[in-house]
Amino acid sequence: MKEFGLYIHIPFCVSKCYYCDFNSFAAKQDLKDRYLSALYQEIELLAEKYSPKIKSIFIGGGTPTSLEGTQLAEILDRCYQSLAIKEDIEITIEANPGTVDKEKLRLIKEAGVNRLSFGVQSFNDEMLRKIGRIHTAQEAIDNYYLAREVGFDNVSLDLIFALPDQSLEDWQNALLQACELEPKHLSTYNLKIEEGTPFYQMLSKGELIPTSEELDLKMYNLTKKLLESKGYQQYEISNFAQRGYESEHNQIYWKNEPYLSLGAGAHFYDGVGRGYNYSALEEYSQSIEEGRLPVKDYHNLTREDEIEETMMLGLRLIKGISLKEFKERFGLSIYEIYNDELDKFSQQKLITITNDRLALTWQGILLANQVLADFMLT
Amino acid sequence: MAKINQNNIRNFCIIAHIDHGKSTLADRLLEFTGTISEREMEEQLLDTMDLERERGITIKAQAVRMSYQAKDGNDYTLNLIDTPGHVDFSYEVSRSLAACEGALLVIDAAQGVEAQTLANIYIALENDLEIIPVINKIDIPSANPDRVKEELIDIGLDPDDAILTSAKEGIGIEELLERVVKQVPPPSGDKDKPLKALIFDSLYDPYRGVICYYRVIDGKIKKGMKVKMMATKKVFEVDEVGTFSPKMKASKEISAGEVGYMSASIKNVKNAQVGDTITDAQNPTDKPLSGYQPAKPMVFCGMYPVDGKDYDVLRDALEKLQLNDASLTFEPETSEALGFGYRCGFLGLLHMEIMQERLEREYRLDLITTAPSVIYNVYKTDGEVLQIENPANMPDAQEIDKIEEPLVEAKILLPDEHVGAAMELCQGKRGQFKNMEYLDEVRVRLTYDIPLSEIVLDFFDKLKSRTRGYATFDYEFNGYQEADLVKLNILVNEEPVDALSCIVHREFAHDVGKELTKKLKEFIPQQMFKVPIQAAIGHKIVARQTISARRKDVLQKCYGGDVSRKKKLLKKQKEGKKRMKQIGSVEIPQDAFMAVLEIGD
Repeated sequence: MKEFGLYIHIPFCVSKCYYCDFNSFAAKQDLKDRYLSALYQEIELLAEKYSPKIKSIFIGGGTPTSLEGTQLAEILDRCYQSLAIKEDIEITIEANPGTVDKEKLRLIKEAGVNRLSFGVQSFNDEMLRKIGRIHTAQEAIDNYYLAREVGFDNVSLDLIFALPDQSLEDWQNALLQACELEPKHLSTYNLKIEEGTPFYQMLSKGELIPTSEELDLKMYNLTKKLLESKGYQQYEISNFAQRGYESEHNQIYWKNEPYLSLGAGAHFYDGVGRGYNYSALEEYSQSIEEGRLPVKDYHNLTREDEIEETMMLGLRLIKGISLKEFKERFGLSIYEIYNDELDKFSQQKLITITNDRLALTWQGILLANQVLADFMLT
Repeated sequence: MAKINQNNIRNFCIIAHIDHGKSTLADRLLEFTGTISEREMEEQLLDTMDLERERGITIKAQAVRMSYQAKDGNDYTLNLIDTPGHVDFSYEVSRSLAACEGALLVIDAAQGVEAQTLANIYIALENDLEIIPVINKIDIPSANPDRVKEELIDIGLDPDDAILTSAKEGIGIEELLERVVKQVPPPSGDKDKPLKALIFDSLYDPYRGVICYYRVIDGKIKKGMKVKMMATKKVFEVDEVGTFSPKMKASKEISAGEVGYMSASIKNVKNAQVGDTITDAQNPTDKPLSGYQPAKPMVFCGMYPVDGKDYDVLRDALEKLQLNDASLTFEPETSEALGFGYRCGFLGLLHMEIMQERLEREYRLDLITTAPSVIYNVYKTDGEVLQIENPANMPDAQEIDKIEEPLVEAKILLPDEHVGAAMELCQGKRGQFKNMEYLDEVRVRLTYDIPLSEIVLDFFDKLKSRTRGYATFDYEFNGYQEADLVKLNILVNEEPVDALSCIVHREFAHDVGKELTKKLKEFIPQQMFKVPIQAAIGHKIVARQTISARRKDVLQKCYGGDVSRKKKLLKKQKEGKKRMKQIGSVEIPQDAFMAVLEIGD
């Protein structure tokens, strides 16, 4: 039986944040009910097609915790009923401050969730308001302690830097406050203004001034320095963790291992090809109601695709790529494919090759797109 | 087919400024005479090349034969020759006109007489053509036929002669045909004399070789006959002769007064150049027709494949294009920066642009084109004289005694309110004022001598923008003149980049250096290190700009399983890099090599 990670998408939010371009909707109860019954059926269809063995589960969004605790518990219950799930796996749920209470947390813990990822984003109320969040910094802190109290030991916090008008000092405060909560894991992303978001419109109208490359760089440098001094190891471009608390599920992506998915707009890689589900709830539900997996597009990967993807994903990990595993997977040594690039980037000190591993240097991480682009084969 | 009586033949062309509606008018004539049915009618039928149709210009001459029963009851054969409308091709225009007895002078009812119109009238008069003025586009709201009629007086034509038409609406077409029959004289040649025919165009057909378009002046031409090109002295056996309807249609013979085509297994248009005289190899005419000039390129640029592997593709493509275009020249050239490529010569800027576009479109080549240049005569101190068409090859300053550059006489026609702006531009382009005359109360013709090198850069665009589009412009070569010129070297990351160097007047060298380095800074993306861009004369740096280093370029948000989207971004980034040329350790985008065209805006 083949092993997979499992991603479950909950496309609902209380309201949409100004920077968000994910598949999410502010939805009424009846829409959610229809969605959930489709999702339950999708579990059956997926079980039928792949008979998968699940080695991690990640419920993301949207805002999964915008659902009721009982609904979330039922999703997991149904997974356990219909899928082969390995023992003691990591089960993460994304939670947004302002959408959890003690009862909900207790219910999802009982259902098997053992890792929480809190979308805190900032500890500055002014900043939170400006990016369209529905909660205050204090609510985030309260929610965090509530989760700890209910027994969630493994909690991660998401923070965003390079927000409009954010100073280096403000970002330093955010990092320090986060550390005070002693989460096991931290994800830090710089704000990227995506097309189709309110921020994008503001940007084109000149109402929003994007953070300079220089400040963004300072913030990122500070992140690494500060978090490492507090005992968090960077293990991926945007992720830091106390030893042993690296996210199992996300590492599946970076190691280019297969994962399945449930829910509208969710992407998957079944080991042969990549695909994604319908994003629109109507199309998604209709397909399932007619007994078909709601896959909108699927394409088989060529060997070249897999090589490129292994590079672009694997090099996001600080430890990089194992040369031995690469050769085992593709039957060719990495030098046979990328000799010139490896040579050039070594000289430029953007990558290091030590023992069995190829990895980006800190300089290489800062210019990762430039390096990774050259590993594209076509 | 019944023998055509020479008296019932009319050969005429349409001359017009670009956009005055020449092609549409030609279409209507074809329609009216039933030469092609409405169903077959494609807009601008005579402009066959895709590019011509897209740009709305005529690049190659075309001919078509129409049958028309006039109101006098007689059947006439009307041969219409469509001519290129751009100054780059004025020699082709003059040859096409020489094949006719009459010309329809098409003038836009709103825009009136333009520089190109005038230039064409002179050519028409030189060829003793009967000119019939046609005031076209009378249907448009801004049309002012009365003003145009007044302008006709100023250029020596009878305004009462003018026919008012709207080619778009089909107004005045029949009247026009009647006038062609009445006013254009029949051809006068003698079909019993030895063959004498004028080539007014030729094109290469991959199956039949070169097809010559000609007008028979005397004698006749038929299949199997041995003919001789009088300029190149080459002899060919005629495979096929025929007429245009407008598709080629074979016939037995083409005799004096008629227009036709021939194929004769000619491998290259160089052997059947526009303007040459075809004669009977066994019984040649004593004197060729006058006025033949071999095509002579005026503007040069380097063309390099972005991917060095495409070098052979580029050579094949140039060879193929040359089969069809005797004025295109190319020679292999090596650039330290760009590798192997070709230095190509063109009649003018439009010609250059068209060729570039055809290479990229029809041969799918990704090219780096260097800024256009002209031929300089360089007199060295050791007595040697060089013709330099690539700035990179300019000898060191201390070896040079003097440099001469080509001049053109530029004629600018414009409303008098813009005269100041145009004069200022000409002065700034080192123009020497020669003349200014009023054509009527408001229209002025300025004449300047201007170095061709200034024209090939961006003169026309600047003239248009400074006169709000009202000025028209025409130029002809006017000899060489000594000038105080220097070579401006461009250094990127301390390395001289030969393909970016240019030749400028000493007085302007500092300014050009400053602006060029500034432009290059805009064109060249940030690299992973700091990149200085310098302009130098000899070893002296005259301008400097610095591109700061790219310090952070990383996609941080990469959770969620949407790998394809991220990959697409990286692929796009890589694609962008591929279109750049690696010069030393710096990646320079294609269009940076043309940056000099954009300075001073």
